[in-house]
Amino acid sequence: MGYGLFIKNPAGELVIGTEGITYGYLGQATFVSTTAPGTTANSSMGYSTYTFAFAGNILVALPLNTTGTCALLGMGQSAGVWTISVHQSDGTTNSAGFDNETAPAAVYVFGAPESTPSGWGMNLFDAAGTICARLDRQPPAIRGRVQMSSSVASMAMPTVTTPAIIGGTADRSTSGIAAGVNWDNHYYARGWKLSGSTLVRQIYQTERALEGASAGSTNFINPVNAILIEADGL
Amino acid sequence: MTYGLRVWDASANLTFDSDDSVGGMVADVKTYGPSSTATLTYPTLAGFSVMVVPLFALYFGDFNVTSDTTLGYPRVVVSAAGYTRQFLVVVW
Repeated sequence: MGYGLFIKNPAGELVIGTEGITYGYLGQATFVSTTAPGTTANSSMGYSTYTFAFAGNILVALPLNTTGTCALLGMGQSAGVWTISVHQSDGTTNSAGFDNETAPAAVYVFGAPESTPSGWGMNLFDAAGTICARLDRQPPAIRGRVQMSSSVASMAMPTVTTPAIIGGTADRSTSGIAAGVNWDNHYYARGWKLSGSTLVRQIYQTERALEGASAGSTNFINPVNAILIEADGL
Repeated sequence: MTYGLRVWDASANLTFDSDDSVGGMVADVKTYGPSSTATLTYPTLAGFSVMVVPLFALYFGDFNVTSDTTLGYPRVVVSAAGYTRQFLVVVW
């Protein structure tokens, strides 16, 4: 680094810098609807949809709880409005094995710094002269790293009043059950859930399909990283 | 606090304190399609650790993005996968 600014915490870890991108808190996304999961052997999981108007890129943090599994399923932007798809289990499953869906307590949205500087506070610029931090908006209060290696499904939580998580797993499990001439195939992924003071990547069923061949029996728990933030007050 | 950064909002509420921030800094946000490959390097961040954070739940188990500091600075290697990947590069 021949110029610029690095801000570190007392342990010497990098926190904010001109070599990074500091997102700022924009607010909670607006709830649109919840779609219930299917109830047959040819059906899909439930999910909730949210929107948020912002022209730039966003990061989404989901609150963690001990009741049910959460996962960020996807998001996309059209005409300046982001549509965010989220899974939040209410802690029960239906007759087809899907998590029953409920709206998460909140969907927190952080935005990339805009190209124009704020009129007050501190703005940081990178080497290209692009704003990389606008501290008129609250940076995410990062409180810990999730770093789970292959086949590790839980870790102790740091002390966080209202924990929320940025990041998703890349796990996949399948099972195929003979159903006459077909196979009743079950497909699973993993999301996040708290169990006491432990963070767990919890399995949930994403799809069931009657297919001509078995999906086989697989259980991939891959390495995964995520970020824990303090959402108290957001 | 003897050094670092604190941020207050316009109502004088403390909204950020670098003493309490543990986890790292977002150095980059990237999106790659299924067949895309790439090697990203961050030589200006020499000496810092690195990890990649997938932004979404991915269902097919082939994220295929790894990170290391073998070169003395963060490096991210993107290999082909079954679908689009979007991820953060976090350094600390």
